[in-house]
This record gives sequence, structure tokens and C-alpha cells, in this order.
Amino acid sequence: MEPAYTIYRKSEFIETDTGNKVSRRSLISGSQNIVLGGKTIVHSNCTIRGDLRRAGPTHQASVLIGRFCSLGEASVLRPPYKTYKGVFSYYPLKIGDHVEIGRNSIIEAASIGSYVRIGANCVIGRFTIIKDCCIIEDGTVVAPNSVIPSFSLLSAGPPAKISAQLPESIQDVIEAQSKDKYAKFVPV
Amino acid sequence: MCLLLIAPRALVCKNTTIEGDVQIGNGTVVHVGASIIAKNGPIIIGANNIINERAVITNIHSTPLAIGDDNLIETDAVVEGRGMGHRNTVQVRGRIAGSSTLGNNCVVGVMCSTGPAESISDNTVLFGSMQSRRIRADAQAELTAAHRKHLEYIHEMLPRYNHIIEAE
Repeated sequence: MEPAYTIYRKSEFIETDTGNKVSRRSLISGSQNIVLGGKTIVHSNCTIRGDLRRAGPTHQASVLIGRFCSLGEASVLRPPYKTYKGVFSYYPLKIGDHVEIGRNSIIEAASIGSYVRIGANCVIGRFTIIKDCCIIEDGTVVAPNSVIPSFSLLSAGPPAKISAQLPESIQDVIEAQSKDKYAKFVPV
Repeated sequence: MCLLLIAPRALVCKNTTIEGDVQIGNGTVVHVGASIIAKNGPIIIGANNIINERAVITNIHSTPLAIGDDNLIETDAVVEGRGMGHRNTVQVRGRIAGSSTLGNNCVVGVMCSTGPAESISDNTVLFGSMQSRRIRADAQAELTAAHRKHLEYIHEMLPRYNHIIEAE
């Protein structure tokens, strides 16, 4: 199955030196605390909260995103928060390479591994850790503080359940698809 | 007649949609991208609430929609009922639909919704995909302390990275 070309208006997207394509209609606050790895696409109306960073004098970024990722339309990336030893703080949100986040999904995870595909309308709870090579189906609600092992297929919910194990080849499949998707995201 | 009243210590970001007759109380935080739309009657928001990005508060009735103190309205939540009390949490994509009201210390879970015209009594938790209900048994004091620290943090950090609407 070959995905079709996605055509966008050149005026809508800003392209950086490392090949990130960020929509001008996305809502990004605290951009100095956001790291995009390169060749990542941020679609329109996507919200990234880089301003919610760790308390105290740290130089840590609050949202770290790897290469060849795709943040869908109207998705929200928001670092998780908790009080630890009586101090309230937000903690960094780390996303690996080749991660696709679907439309309208809300991510408050602590970390998402590489080769992960998250469907549309998902809610990933606070401090969730998703390991590498997972697929999360559309509309899944992942409970806060859960740890999702590698090669799991998550569906249903709330709360979500692991419904199947994915084959090892899924890593190559997701990598190829995310590269293909980036290559086929072209201006008019 | 558009009347926007923001208390001196409230934090309202510039990138929000506010329409109609809206009052925002002391210490309340409205994050970027939230929308507060008073279509008919006014919306009166109390003190020390946190309203996250993409939350939608609409008043479709002619009576005022009153939101009490210390509430937390999370991302993508929809509040369109007749109001709520104090110390409630509406979690991600929670919905107070139609003309429902919420008491005090309630929690509307992720993707949960009230009925079209329900009045939820105090300490109720709405949770799960089956729209189950239960009475909460955890310590409210701990959560109130966490909420206060959260507010303190946001009041310090939010103005550094966002444009704030100045209160008159």
C-alpha cells in the first residue's frame, strides 16, 4: 500500500535547516525549550507547551522530539507534572524517532520510545512510559503512570489493554513508512 | 454589550478566545488556546481555578454560568452546564453537558460526560468507559495542597513565556 502525496501550501509551513516543517497555524509556547530532531512535521493547530518546564535553574528542554516524527492536526503535547518531595514541577516529555501522533490526540507522557504509532483521538495519561515499537489504536485512553512494553498493540479503553503482540518486523515497517511520509509531504 | 472583567491577580493569556460577558476571579489561570464564550448569559469564574489549553466553557443558557473556586479544567474539556461548585476536576476531554450542574469535590474522568440535565452531588467521581459513578474516598487536603502549589508554579512561569492580558 503506497501512501499518496500530501500537498501543502508553502506559505503555511516554516522549514528549518534540519528539515523540520512547522505549521504557522500551530500553537507553540516556550519555543526555546522545545527540541525537534530534524525532518519532523508539526501540522496545523498542534499545541506544544514548551513553557511548562522544570522548576529551578535548569537548562533542560521541556519537550524533546526525535527525527522523522509527525504530530497530527490539533494534537496537544503537554509535559506532565507532579509534586515530588513537596516541590511542584513539570517534567520533560521525551519522544523518540519515527513517532507518528494522530489527529486530536493529547499526550502527557513522560517518555515515548522510537517507532511508535499513536492513532487519532487518543489520550496518553500523565507520566506514561511507552517503550519502542508500539501501536496505539484510534481513541485509546492510556491510564496515567502506566508502562507500555515494547511490541504491544493497545486498544479500547478507558483503561487501555494490550490486545496483541506485534512482530519484530514492525520496526522496519514504521521506519520505512515515516520516511516515505516525510518524502511525500511536498509543497505546491 | 461585551463586558470582560479580570481580577488583578488573575492570569489570562492573550491567545485565548473570550467572547461576551465574562468575569474572571482572583488567582485564576487561563492557559493559551482556551475559549470562554458567553453566548447568552454571563460566565462568572471564581478564584484560583486553572483552565488548560483548548478547554471550552460556553454558556448557552440565559442564566449565569457560575464556576466556583479551586477548580481544575484540563485540556479539551467542555463545560456547558449551569455551573459547578468548588474544588472540582474535569479531566482531559471530560464534558459537563446540556444543563447539568456539578457539586463540590467532584471528578469528571477522562472522556466521561454527565447526562444532558443532571445535577451531580458532592464528592462524586465519574470514570471509565461505562460511565460508572462512585463516591470518592481519598484525602481532599492533599489535592488542595497540590493545586495550590500548581497555581504558585504557573503564576511564576506562565508570564515568562506568554503574553498576558493586563487587568485594568
